[in-house]
Amino acid sequence: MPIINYASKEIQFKIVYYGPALSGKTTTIAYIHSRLPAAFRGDLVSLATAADRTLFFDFLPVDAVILQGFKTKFQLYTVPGQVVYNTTRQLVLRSVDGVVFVADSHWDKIHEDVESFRNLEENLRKQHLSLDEIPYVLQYNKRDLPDAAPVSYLEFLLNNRRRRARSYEAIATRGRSVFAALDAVTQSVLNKFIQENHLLRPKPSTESVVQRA
Amino acid sequence: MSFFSWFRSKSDKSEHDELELKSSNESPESHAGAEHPLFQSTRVPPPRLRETVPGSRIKSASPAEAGSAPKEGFRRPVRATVDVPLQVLLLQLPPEVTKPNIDIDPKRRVQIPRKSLQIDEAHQTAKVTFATIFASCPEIFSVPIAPLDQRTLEFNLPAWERPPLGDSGEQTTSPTTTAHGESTALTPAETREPATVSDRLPPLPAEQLVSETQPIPGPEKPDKAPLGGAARNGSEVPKTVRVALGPIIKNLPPGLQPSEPNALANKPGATIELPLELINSQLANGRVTIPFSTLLKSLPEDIKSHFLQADTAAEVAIPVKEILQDYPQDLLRPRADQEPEEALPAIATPFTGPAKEDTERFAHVPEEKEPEKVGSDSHQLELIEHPPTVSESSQPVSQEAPLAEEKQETPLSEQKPTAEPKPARNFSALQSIFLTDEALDLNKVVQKVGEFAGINSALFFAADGSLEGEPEKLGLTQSSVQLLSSLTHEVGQRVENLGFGQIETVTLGWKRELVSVFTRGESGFIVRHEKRPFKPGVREKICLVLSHICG
Repeated sequence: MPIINYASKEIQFKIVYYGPALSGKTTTIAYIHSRLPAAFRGDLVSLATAADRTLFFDFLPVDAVILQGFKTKFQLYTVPGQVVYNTTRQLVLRSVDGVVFVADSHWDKIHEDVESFRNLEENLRKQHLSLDEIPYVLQYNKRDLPDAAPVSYLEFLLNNRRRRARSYEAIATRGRSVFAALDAVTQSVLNKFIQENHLLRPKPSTESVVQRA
Repeated sequence: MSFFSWFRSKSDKSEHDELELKSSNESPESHAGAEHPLFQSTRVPPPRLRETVPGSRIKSASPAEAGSAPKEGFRRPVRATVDVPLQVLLLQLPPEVTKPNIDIDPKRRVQIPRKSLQIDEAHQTAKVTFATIFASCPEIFSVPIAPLDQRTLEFNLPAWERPPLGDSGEQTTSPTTTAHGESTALTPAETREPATVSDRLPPLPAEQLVSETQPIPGPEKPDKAPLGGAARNGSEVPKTVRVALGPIIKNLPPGLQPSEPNALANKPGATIELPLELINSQLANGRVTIPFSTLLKSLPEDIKSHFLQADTAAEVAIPVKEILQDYPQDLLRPRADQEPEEALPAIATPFTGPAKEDTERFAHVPEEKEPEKVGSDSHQLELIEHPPTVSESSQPVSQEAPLAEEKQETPLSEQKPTAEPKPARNFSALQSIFLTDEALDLNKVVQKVGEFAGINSALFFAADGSLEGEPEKLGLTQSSVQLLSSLTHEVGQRVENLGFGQIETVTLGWKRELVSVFTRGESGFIVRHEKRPFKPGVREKICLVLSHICG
């Protein structure tokens, strides 16, 4: 559920990057931070352990379109992928509006991808949410690895729900399909919000995006 | 006399207790009213038994109902599983997921976890996902069912699993409940589907249930599905899958390794056949393991003698990559009832522009190829001699194409016989690795590698012997760097000859520190780090930086 602040006329959407450890969630969000103009984004907050792993979450706020006088903001979060940090993942998932599932394409990591996806479903279920309701996309990361699993198998494992999700072959270190995946999920989130609240759609022009409130 | 007086007093008490039970849900006001002599006939006493499970209190809607409430009697214990005849499930499952020839007795009962069922007590039916059936009885499936598969089938509850007609009224008012009394909210898709049985059915014997089961909406299936008969769709599904033996041997734990692992692993054409049903049940998890005894059975006789017969119960991992080489690809097709992606109206977001830019950029960049092997790397010289300027390095990552053009301009006659790394003038792609917006050049890259967690200092050496970084910090001279480089190269080649693949790091330890050498061709990084393994991700990052620098 987005947070609507009537005083400051803001709607905040929460997008969570979910996936197994070392799949490239932080790299993805760091790339997004590096590419977005400073005027649209805030600082990238990254709480990492001494072992260079995400401890709590990475956070990146981004300004987006204006919907009926309300400026929308996207808050991008990542979760720690390590199995032991499940409580943290549950906390970060609270009130999530959209999910980008970052899967590791390496053969040896595929089992972890499946486990992480199940964990995502389980954690959503605990919050009375489901992937049937929440917009999500799949980002098959590390496609440049020589030992990457075929996409057909990844699709069989992860994109076999009744509602087919959009999936992207990505290379987060180089930025391939990183923005495409994020754009897809944000569009789904915005469309869902507009549909549910019977709002007028913003004009699909670049000006409406660039315009800041 | 004393016995009769005691008996009468006990009888009075029990009557009082029963009255108390009947008025368990009465409000205080009704209790107050019940004190009036007029209401004494309908007085409902508080419950006799304590509520041990929250929400388990027996509800009585009205005093009249309370008066006619069923007495506490024997209740059937709720089992954790529900037994369903295999025949019932087979008739409901679409033929494309079930095996054509099934040797199992169709009357055999499959135990399905009760918590995985959505039991509709009003209609005495239950819904279960294909994945749950697959987990309970994988033998009947011809294709693996992913745990995320949400296809469901609905079947009539067998007679022995139906609650008695008298029981159903006292459980709950919700039409869809699990046996534990939890309300299971139906998904929108499920709510759209009407129940296949419109009215409550009386208990029937299992044999009659088979003919009653209704088909679920979805994939068509023949009127009478043969159980254990001929192939349904005409195409023969192979029963085994052929897997190369080499990768399996390489993955074996040390205790199970054969006497000559390398010879066996590199033996050309050495394969084993594994039963498909064993693979199918696990393929959806992304990991496949088999008992060592099964592996031994599958081995050819000449290879089997090399293995010790110890610890046959140990689980052996079979690389999924090898399985999929021979695996029928038809079985990995997406589910038939999957809804396609929704076409949404486009809304421009701050991410639309960069997404388009990236798409265009990668449309022009040739496909990334597998990193070349040692010795085939290219030019590093120019990198050292002409470090990129700030303006050059701050260009977007997309400008990689000119490099290829420059290479083409060089006449073949002028090219050196040994391929050398081509100059990578653009380091902006490395900004995401170092989490910085700063414009990078080689000197800064080396400096930032030295700042990785656990790394004390770093040095980059090129094919021509030139160095970037601070060799003094590492306590190395140019000759010692050359020695380390050639040593790593030699070790790498020998290890590769042993069949262990390309080596990426060699670590040497002395005093209290470790020095690790990462090489790519004749170039590489030397890093000094604390006397402990690399912290997670650091080694991978250095490899990534090196591969970027060396092209």
